[in-house]
Amino acid sequence: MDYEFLDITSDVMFRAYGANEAELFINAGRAMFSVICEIESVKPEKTVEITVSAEGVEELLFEWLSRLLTESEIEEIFFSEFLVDEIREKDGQHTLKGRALGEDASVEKGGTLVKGVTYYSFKIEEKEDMLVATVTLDI
Amino acid sequence: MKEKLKKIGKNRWELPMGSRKTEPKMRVPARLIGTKKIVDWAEDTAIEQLTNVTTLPGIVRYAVGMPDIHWGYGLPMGAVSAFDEEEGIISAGMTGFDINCGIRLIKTNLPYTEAAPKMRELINGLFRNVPSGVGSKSKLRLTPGQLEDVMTRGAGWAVESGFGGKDDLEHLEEGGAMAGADPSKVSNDAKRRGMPQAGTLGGGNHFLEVQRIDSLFDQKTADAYGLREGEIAVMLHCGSRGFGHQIATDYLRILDKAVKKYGINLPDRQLVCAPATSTEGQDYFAAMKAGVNYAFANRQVMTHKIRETFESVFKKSWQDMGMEILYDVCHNICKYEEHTVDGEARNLYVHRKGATRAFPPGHRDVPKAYRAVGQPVLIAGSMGTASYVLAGTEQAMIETFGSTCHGAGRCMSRKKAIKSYRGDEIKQALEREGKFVIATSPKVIAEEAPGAYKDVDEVIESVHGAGISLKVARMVPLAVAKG
Repeated sequence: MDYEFLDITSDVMFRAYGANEAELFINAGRAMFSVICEIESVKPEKTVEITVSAEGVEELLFEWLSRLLTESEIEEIFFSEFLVDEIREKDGQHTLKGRALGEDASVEKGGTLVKGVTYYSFKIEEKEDMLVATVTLDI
Repeated sequence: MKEKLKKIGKNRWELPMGSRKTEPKMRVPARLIGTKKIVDWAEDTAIEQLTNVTTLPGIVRYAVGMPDIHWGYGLPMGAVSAFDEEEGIISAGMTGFDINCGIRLIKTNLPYTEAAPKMRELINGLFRNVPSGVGSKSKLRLTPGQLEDVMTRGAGWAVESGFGGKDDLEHLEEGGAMAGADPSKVSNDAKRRGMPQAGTLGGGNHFLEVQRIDSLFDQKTADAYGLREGEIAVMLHCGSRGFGHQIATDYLRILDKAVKKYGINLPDRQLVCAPATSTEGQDYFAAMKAGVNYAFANRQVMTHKIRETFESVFKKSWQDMGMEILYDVCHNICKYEEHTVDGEARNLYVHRKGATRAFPPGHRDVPKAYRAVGQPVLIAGSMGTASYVLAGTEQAMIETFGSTCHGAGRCMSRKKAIKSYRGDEIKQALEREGKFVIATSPKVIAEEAPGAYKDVDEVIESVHGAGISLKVARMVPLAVAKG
């Protein structure tokens, strides 16, 4: 399983899974955009380069998801594919270089509006050789 | 946690200090406004989240949960808390992502009988002219200079740009612009996100609804508000769009660092905040006000589009149709207000998250036209159910920092709602009742199904019975456009 949705009354909470950090980040991106748009039908026609840095891996995930949301709204693109080219750590600073691919946003392929990524219950855990991220989105 | 609530009066419950066993400890009690049914409906997680707020530095008297309370992120929706201006905090988490999410009601003098035959044409026109839902695009693209004006002048910018008349501004909370907004405290990301989105409804629970005034409860106040039974009105529910969402995201990071810097012990990381006197706290407050003003401008631009659509459908000018704004309220906001605490006037930072200001008759911040009867309070029901106009009261000033509820309040998650309901079936069922629904997708309709919300009538009876706002009018939906 790449990701699953959990119950929370007012918003959207999901768990994303990955065998490594890159896979986890990709699946978390897909989970978030599966709320925003019909990712199955969004074509990877346009590419946006994403670079984010943070002091820890959890923080890096927060920055990655927040950045994807920001770029999606500024560029008015729905993303459906995510690539992580590199995750580097130097002196405690984690940096991710990646890409998000998608097509021009349209009402036809729109889903539910995501306002932001919250810190509520936000975490990455290691369970049975898998990385598991819990993320709550404000709707 | 819920079993510790003690009844302290009609529709009033208190959770005493010490109810929370984990650190940090409660500094003040928590209160809940609601009938027994409301208490029964409230999730334990929501009540526990209410105690989160009571642990924060400088909180005054108690945290208040409104009857539309429900489990949110960090704190429940339907919460009011006030903080001392010296010892207290300002919180981005407790204001929320949708800064100045709010409700506006536009009146008309059109009787239902005249409007009813054109209802389908009207809602289709509104849905076409007011961009709604994820992926919709506004024809209005703000330039950097225009956005700067929007940030500082709010609805005033919109009116000067031809979106409405000057009289409109007199009927908006804060006159449609909070003073002290500072564009230099707003990031370029927020500005870039905000420029293409002005004049758009957004999604989620935002809506535009044509309603019929179904019943009046207080003729004198209804007369002062210009509400007449049988006439139609338009309710608009939306906020500051990606502009406000980005300000919130930016300041979550900044205030997260401030929490560590100032040694604040938080029960939940999402409640990020900074001392009210700190640079970080004041920077957020100045940026938040820019978000507040964007939302006022956003609702003003949409008001203009709504009036244009009515003009095109009914072939009359909006002035001839009496399309004046009743009022515009903010229900996600932090305000610097004067309140009397233990007989002493104090300046407080009041956070309303899913709660509406409800100022009483005679208050200087209530528009002159309504000062004799109190501020209009606008409460949205869920899709397909009633909405209300209430009036603010002195009791709200005494008890709830001049605040009341904001809506029906969810009682079912979106995930469960999608599993339990089918959007097309709900649409058909509502149409059989004569209510038209138009949305970007059936999924949105399922998520917002009436059954996913509490009974709004019970919420209203709770606040009316507690006296923190009083019923003036009830409106029923005729047609709704969902984002």
